[in-house]
Amino acid sequence: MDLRIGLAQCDLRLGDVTANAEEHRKWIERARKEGVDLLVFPELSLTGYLLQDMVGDVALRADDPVLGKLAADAGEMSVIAGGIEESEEHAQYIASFYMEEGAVRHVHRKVYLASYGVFDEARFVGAGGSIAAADTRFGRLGLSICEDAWHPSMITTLLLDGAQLVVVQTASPVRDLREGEIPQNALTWVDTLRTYARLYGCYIAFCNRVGAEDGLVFWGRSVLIGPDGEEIAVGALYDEDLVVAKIDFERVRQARLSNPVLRDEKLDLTRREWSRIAERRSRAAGGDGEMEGEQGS
Amino acid sequence: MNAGSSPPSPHAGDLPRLDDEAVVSVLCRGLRREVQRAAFSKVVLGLSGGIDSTLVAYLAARAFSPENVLALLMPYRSSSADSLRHGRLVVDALGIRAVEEEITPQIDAYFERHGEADRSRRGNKMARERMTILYDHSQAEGALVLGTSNKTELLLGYSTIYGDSASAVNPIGDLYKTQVFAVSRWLGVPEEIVDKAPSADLWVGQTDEDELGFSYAEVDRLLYHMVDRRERRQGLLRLGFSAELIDRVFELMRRSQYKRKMPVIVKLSNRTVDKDFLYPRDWTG
Repeated sequence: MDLRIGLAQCDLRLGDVTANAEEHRKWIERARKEGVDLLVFPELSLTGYLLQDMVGDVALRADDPVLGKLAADAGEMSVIAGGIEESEEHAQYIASFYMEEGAVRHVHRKVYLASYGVFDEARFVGAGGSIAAADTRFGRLGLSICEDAWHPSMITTLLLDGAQLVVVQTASPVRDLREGEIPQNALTWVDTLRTYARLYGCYIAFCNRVGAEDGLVFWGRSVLIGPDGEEIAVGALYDEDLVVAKIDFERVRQARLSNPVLRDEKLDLTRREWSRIAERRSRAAGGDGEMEGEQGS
Repeated sequence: MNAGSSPPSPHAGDLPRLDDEAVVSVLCRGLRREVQRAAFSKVVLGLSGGIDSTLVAYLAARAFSPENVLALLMPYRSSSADSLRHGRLVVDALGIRAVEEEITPQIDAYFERHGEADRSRRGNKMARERMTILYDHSQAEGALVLGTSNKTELLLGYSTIYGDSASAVNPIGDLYKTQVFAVSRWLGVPEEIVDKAPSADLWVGQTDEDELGFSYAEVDRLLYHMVDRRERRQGLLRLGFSAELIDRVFELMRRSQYKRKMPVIVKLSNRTVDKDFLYPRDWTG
């Protein structure tokens, strides 16, 4: 099956969900004219990134009318937007909302929070406790948010769970600008994602925002990477852009026939070894040897 | 494009050679966005004729149209004649607006009552006088105040608190002094400004490097390894820095931390400004 994917590389208003939702509608209309089937927005696209104590003010329940209206306005287009999700227990998470046929159908909560360097997410939000591909009209889809994708285990898990396309929403600012036009962290991003795509034979759709918050300049350069690790379509550096490209899942098949890494993954062996290692690490950390994975999530 | 700049240095211990065009592009975007977010369309800066404020003027003229940039030239009677001349040179080269506000009368009036004040006190007073004039023009013009402190100065605390360190947005605060030189050259800042010895020009004959006791080239390399690369003392010694310089620079950095922070607030309530009342500066979206 083919699909036309759109990456809405947008700027946003920090802390203003209403204004951002309105902007989303404009991007949806623009994407509709380009025949987009699945439109991806960046991390925290409905709220902006540097929220700190605003987190509680901008949080949405998955059934919030703001999301419902957006999903309805998208019509036949599927949309992945970013925001702060509030759980029934009133915990907040950085979330991807997958919307299809007028409603939110799947929510991914960011598992790996970035809390180092300029990032301080774990102070303000909770970490997600689930890594699972979503059932969509395009087949199984993997959702990940920024730091999530710096953990190969996360990507591997989504792919083993059936995803052939992994979406990465980001709010990545310029860090370590050196020689050349593209910041070092952007180069690392591209290298990493191309390696995943080539290794596993999958598509990766990376959508990064632009604009600036408190001196952090977001660099954009959203990209669709194909199963051979090639950059199929690339967005502008620093400027708003709608990146549109075709995904042909037949190419995933071809890539996996010539490089069957996923087929040969030894899940049971890995699970046994990881359990053993988790126990050993827990003991080394002074724990009672109980396995990390069994403490519940 | 690296017009007028040297090729990448082969020395492993050097600062990375930046892509000047990329630096200017990011700084101008950041400037535009932050000024726009504060609901301003104009900027004002103190233009001393030195390299830092000149670079900020060049960046501002690029980020905004020249008529939206106001430069204040604020000489004191002992200021170097070159300072004012270089300031005017920059104003003419960029076509930005300029106002000259001599600060001699009010400074002299104040120190008539404090004749015992040493040159450091006088210098600090001048820096703060200039700050109040900048903020007055900021209000009168509806223009945001741009900062002109580079990363070397900020880390060493080589500035007057609430004087030259005061601003709303500082586009050059993450560039070391030697990087300021490189980017300035690329932007076509006149040679005579780039080549003169850096000076706060707070008293006759003052130069930064004399006062600090080390060169910018040397301290920038040290700061880069100490701060950016998180190199420990042993590693810095291996890179060839003297123990004396390492300790001196570390102490300067540590002792000036107060200049880089909000004033200390003694906590009483549940939520205290700057402690657990945390919002970005760009709270206004």
